Amino acid sequence: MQCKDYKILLIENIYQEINKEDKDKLESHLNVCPACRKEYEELKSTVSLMQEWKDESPHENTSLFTKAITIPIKPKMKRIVWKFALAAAAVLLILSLVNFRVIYTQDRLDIAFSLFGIKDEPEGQLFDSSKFVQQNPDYEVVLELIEAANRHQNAEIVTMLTDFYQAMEMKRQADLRIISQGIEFIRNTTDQRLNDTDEVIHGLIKYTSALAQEGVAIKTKK
Amino acid sequence: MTDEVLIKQFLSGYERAFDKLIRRWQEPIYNFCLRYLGADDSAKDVLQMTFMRVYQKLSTLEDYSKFTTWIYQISKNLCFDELKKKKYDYLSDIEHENKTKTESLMTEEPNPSQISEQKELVQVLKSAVQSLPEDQRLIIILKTYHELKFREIAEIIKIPVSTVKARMYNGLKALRPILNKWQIK
Repeated sequence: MQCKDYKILLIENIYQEINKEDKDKLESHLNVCPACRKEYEELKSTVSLMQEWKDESPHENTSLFTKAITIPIKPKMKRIVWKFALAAAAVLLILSLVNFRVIYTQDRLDIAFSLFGIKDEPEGQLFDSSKFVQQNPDYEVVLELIEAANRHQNAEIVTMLTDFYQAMEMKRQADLRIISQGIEFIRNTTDQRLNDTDEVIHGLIKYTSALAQEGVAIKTKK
Repeated sequence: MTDEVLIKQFLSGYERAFDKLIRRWQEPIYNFCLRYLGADDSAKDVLQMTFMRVYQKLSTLEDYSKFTTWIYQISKNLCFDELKKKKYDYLSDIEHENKTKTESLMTEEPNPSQISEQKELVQVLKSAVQSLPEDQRLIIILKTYHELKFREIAEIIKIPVSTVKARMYNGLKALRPILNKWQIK
């Protein structure tokens, strides 16, 4: 094996991902080859040095990259900047009163003033949801969560309505049974009464015909 | 609690398990993106996109024990997209900047008082890593700062293990002259 064949083994050994056989081979070679020994030490030193670049927290608002371009502002300069900013704000406020408007409609009071004129905002354009989603990718996740909650709520409503429907159906069946029992009772009673009436009528007919026959017989005897 | 347990809990409807996964993984993923992209804002954007992608696709992960390589793979792909998206302005700037940085790191005379401070040492390391070609930089970052096995890195990048080792060797070799120049030993 030549020196170039040991390159990968050097890397494997530094990260302790080398098998026993290769490790023995490498160590034997390093004992007799000062160039490879030097290279091995340099690689190890580089790896160790790299560890100095520590992890940063995502919550820190700036990294070293951005810190490097931050321009420090001296206290005296800060006071001048503040004075200038306050003066500019005052001037803009006074100028903006040129375009001052108050609108009162039914339940809403709008007050507006602007330096460059007041534009009426078209209705329905105040919130562009698609643009908002593009600018806030998290919003999609929130929407998904809301949708999941809605689906869950809908499922609960369906279950509740199904239970309610089943209860109502049972009550309706019970009522129908009572009604049918009532109808049966009324029919039976009516039948009974009609039968009774029939019997009475038959009795009367029999009695009347008997009387009639008796009357014929008396008349015939006479 | 292992990642596997948290994934199972999340997929069975316990949403808070995902919060725990985020808390566990946000720092490694952020630092991976930061080192790979070299820009804080882009790193934070990719961090958010990574977790969104994980949230959407976690149910498709077949082997939960491979979550580590899976999340780095997602993050790497998103970083790659981020670099590609800004290819003509951002990447060319970065490459130009890296070239300039390497040139300046190689030509500038080191000031021992400057590099005595830890911050300056880290700044040199950052610039040196950023100056590496993208494929070497990716492997050096994954191996050095995320302690992944060569086999896992090969899975993430989808290249043979032997290629990973060769790029690691070449990357470390390329860093040495810069560090030597700055008398960092």
